[in-house]
Amino acid sequence: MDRPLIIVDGISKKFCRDMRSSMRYGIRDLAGAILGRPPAPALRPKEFWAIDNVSFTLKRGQCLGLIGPNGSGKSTLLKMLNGIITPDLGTIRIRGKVGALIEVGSGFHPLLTGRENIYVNGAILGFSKKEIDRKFDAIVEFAGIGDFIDTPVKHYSSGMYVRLGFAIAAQMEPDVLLIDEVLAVGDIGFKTKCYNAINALSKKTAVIFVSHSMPHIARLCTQLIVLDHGKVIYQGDDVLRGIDRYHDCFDLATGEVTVSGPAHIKRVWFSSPAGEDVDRVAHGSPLTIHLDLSVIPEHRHPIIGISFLNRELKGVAQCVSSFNHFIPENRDGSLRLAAHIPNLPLNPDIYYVSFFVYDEHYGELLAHHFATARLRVTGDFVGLTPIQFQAQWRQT
Amino acid sequence: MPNPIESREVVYEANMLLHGGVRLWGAMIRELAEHRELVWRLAVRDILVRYKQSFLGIFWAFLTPLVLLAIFLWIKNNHIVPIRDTAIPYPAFLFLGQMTWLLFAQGITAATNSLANAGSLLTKINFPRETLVFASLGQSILDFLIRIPLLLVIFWWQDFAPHPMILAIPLLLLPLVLLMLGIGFFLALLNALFRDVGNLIGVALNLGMFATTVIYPPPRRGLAAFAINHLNPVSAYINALRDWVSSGTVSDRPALVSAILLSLVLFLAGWRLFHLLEPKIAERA
Repeated sequence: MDRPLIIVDGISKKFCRDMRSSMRYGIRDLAGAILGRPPAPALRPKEFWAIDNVSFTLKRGQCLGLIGPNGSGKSTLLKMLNGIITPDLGTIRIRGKVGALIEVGSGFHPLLTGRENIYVNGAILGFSKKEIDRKFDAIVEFAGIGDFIDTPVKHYSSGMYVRLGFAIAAQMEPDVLLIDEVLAVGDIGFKTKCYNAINALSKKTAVIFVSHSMPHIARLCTQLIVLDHGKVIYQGDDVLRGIDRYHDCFDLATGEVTVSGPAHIKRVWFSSPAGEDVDRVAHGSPLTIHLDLSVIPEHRHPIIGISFLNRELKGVAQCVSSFNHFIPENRDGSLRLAAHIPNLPLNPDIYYVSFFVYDEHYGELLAHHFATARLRVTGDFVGLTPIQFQAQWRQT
Repeated sequence: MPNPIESREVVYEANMLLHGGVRLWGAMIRELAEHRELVWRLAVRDILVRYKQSFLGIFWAFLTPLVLLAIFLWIKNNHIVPIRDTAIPYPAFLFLGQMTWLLFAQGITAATNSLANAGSLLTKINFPRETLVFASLGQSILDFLIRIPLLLVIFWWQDFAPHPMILAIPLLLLPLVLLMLGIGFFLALLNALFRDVGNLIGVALNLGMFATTVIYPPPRRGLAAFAINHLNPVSAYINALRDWVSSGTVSDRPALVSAILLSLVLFLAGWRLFHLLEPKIAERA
């Protein structure tokens, strides 16, 4: 029970930047392999390490989070663990049945009915007909597709498609479970059902979980590997520290903006109460946002808005000068403003900041600088929603 | 939690190509045996899908050979191309040859496309890819079986009584299927890399029919005769099959034996090569 189910020892994988060279190298490697010559481990022109020397072990009941910016090698690593591609260096040893929640439903044939697809997909995942017969009702029940079971899946909604795919995969009772951002679709009710299923599975399996959703990583994972350009930049069981290192991967320079129009913002920066420039702030601490802008003189009292956007560039919070009953005075076309937020309630994460300038009636938009600055909020927790209030709690 | 599978370990590592030796055959056969249900499911899936959006359904299996039968009967009866008389009535002779050739040609085409058409299955799910090639032959075998009643009708129409050895024909079809698999494994890999192979195979099979004893009996003289009778294993199977139907004994034993040996070697080499190279090719394609 306590032997590791996964032992990964120093694996690396190289990829090639263009298709032509990739084909050429591939054919050369294949020919060499048939003749019994191992390929040289060194990089050839246009090649790069997609995964560079990764090692870890994982036992039953543990959940390893795999995070990193786009293109950092997470999916490549997951594909190697799933046996779809082989490493160029190193060894992967896996004991037990491997289940993968990677683009569920990808084996479905559009012309076949849900019922037929359950049997085909189940067989691909390694079930016998008897096993599928036994699990059939549970699958249909979990997917919640009811009468649609005898309809060709090409008539399914994308949600039903994923639900059926997940329902089949979730019935696998694997020893090792690989999960790659499967839950991007589906409604809230089904997502909750999925996370509960994964949570239940994770107690008796070794789980490897790839996600961009830090709240889920923080909730599910017992340990973390942070990848950047194929290299491990953090590995350990301090999940919050790992998430912090992940945020480090993003460039946090505040932008200089040059747009001409009735108004434009020349410079923005953030400062701490001590007055120094910062690009990060602790959750619940004060933050001052400085703006250096020019507005043509006919707009005497412009309105300034600041929006905080999440990683998906959706607005999560804003502050607007007129809502705060502040009226700036534009005398010579140039304005310097500071907005002080006494205790920032944002959830620890990365935020993009957008700036707006409106005329005094909040009518005409004079300038809009979309996501020109980035701010990082740190903290000793990662919550599920963008705003985390510091409430005063007491027992009553 | 006791778990029998847990005791089995899979290892993925670099240079897996160099490993194996004789033990790999055992692993490959065991893997295929464990996944026989998957082969069956995939074959059934392909057949279901083909008939789902078709109005004429299985009648397509009759249509192609019947049209060809009509054309070549007309060609022979009008002496446009001289075709020597055959031991069995020509319509039966032709239909037997066509059934077998179509089994081969359809099977090769399906096997060639088996990987290329699998799409996201290959990049997302780990399962033995061989099952796709094995399963791809299901359709052509089914079509062959569907054509048998038509063959019997032709026998009845020509008032011809086949030799009882006709019942042993499955014994000849087994090595033919192995030959199809052997060639199919090679072509499926090539087609996964270069889609030109799929088109090329269509042309090659069209020409191949004329280089095989489908519409004419084995030629007697010349270099072409040697190539058609002795270098083309499909000819050997078709000739042997007709011999069994007409007299119950094979006239050209050496050609048949060498065809069977060739089929066996190609099957084993193709399967092994496919097993080893498929993962490498899948990641490049």
